[in-house]
Amino acid sequence: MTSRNPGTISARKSSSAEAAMLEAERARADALFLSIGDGAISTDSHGMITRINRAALDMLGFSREELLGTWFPKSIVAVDEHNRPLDIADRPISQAFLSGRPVSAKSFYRRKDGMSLPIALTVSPYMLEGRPVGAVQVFRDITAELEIDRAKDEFISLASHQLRTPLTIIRTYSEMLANGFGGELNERQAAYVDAVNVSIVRMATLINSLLSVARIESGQVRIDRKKTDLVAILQSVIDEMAPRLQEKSIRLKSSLDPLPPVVTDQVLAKEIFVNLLSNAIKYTPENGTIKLQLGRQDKGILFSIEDSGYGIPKTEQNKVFSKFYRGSNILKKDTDGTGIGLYLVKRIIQNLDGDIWFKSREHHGTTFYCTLPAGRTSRPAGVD
Amino acid sequence: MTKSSRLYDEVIAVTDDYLGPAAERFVARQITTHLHKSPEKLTRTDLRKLIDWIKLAISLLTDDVEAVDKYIDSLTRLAGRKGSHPTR
Repeated sequence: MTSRNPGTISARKSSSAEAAMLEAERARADALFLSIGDGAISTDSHGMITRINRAALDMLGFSREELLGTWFPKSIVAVDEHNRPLDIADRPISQAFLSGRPVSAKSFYRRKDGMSLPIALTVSPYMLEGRPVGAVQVFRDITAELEIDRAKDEFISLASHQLRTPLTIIRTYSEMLANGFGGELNERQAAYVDAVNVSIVRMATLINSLLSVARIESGQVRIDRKKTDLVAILQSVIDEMAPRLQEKSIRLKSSLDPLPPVVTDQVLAKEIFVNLLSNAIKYTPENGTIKLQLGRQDKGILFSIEDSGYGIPKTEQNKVFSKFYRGSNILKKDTDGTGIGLYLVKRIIQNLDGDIWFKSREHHGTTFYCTLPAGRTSRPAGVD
Repeated sequence: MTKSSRLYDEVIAVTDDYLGPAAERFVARQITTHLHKSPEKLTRTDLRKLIDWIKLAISLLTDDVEAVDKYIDSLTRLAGRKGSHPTR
């Protein structure tokens, strides 16, 4: 005869209650995951897809059965803007695993029909008892946002182009007036015409900047690489800016190493120097200091420009190279800025295969560093 | 120090079977980014902490679950961690 152990029954009851609770918890987690409005995919430690929600399936055009249990890198192909597969190391999931932290990025996924889908995504490694065991990624379709960006860029391009022609005519006649071609001006009239001319120059600069942005964004910038004396270019930029430096009593300290000619685009190189120096002057208060350095480094040329200016607020430093960004601490000090210069510089440097970064402390100043490849000086000048 | 360096070499040797010439770059990157230390200073304790990240990273390179598990088991043995690494 067997006797039943009440303790065992109680333990069984408790264990089945725990199992029921766990099951309910899992069902809740599933429901939560599957009902997210954005696409959501989770993978296990082998990179196999363990969960995928309806929004993700709709965006990618697959059925759940086609993806569940498959290897994520192969089933969901990340591509570049030309629909070419990305190297696995460049995929945000690899970067998330490498950094151990969530990574947000813009990318493209290839849909089942072969079309590429622009997405904004965040991939996070997920942890169990302190150990990473997989990843969850959430993504959304940004086709509409890209279309809006494109339309905005086209509008800027068209508007700037259309504005330039009448502005040139205004400028011509305004200068003719200032030079007395319309008759002699009295002192007050001359002052008014001067004010008009200053604003015309400002507007022309803005329009030219917008056109440069439009050109570089549409890939229309032709890079004309030839042997270039960067020191001479920088020196000419310094000379051009001398009146502005004097106006604010800014001390300029420059250390320009003699450099052999580098193969780069002279016009674009000058544009970089003009924008960075002009920026430093604009955001350095009177009696401040600007230090320029130009010299060789491992793989090319390193240029740095340090100012003792207002600096960039820490919370805004990730936006410095964004189009139209202006520091909140300088909006009242300088009302003329457009927020295009640094964006333009970054795009130009990218086009020249260089790099730009900075360090900044508010109220202490900012240093921008940029590198440019030295290029192959053995190539004939002007040959791309 | 010598012991730690040897451990790093052993990890590279094991990884080499799976990743070939990319082994050292792969392991060094995992160590420097997750442990913030020089790869040559890898200790067994470090390796135990690192194995999970290595598994995730290598699982993005191959869908051969068996090979991944075998590789991770080899690393686990090197780290002196008892028992097989949990798999899905």
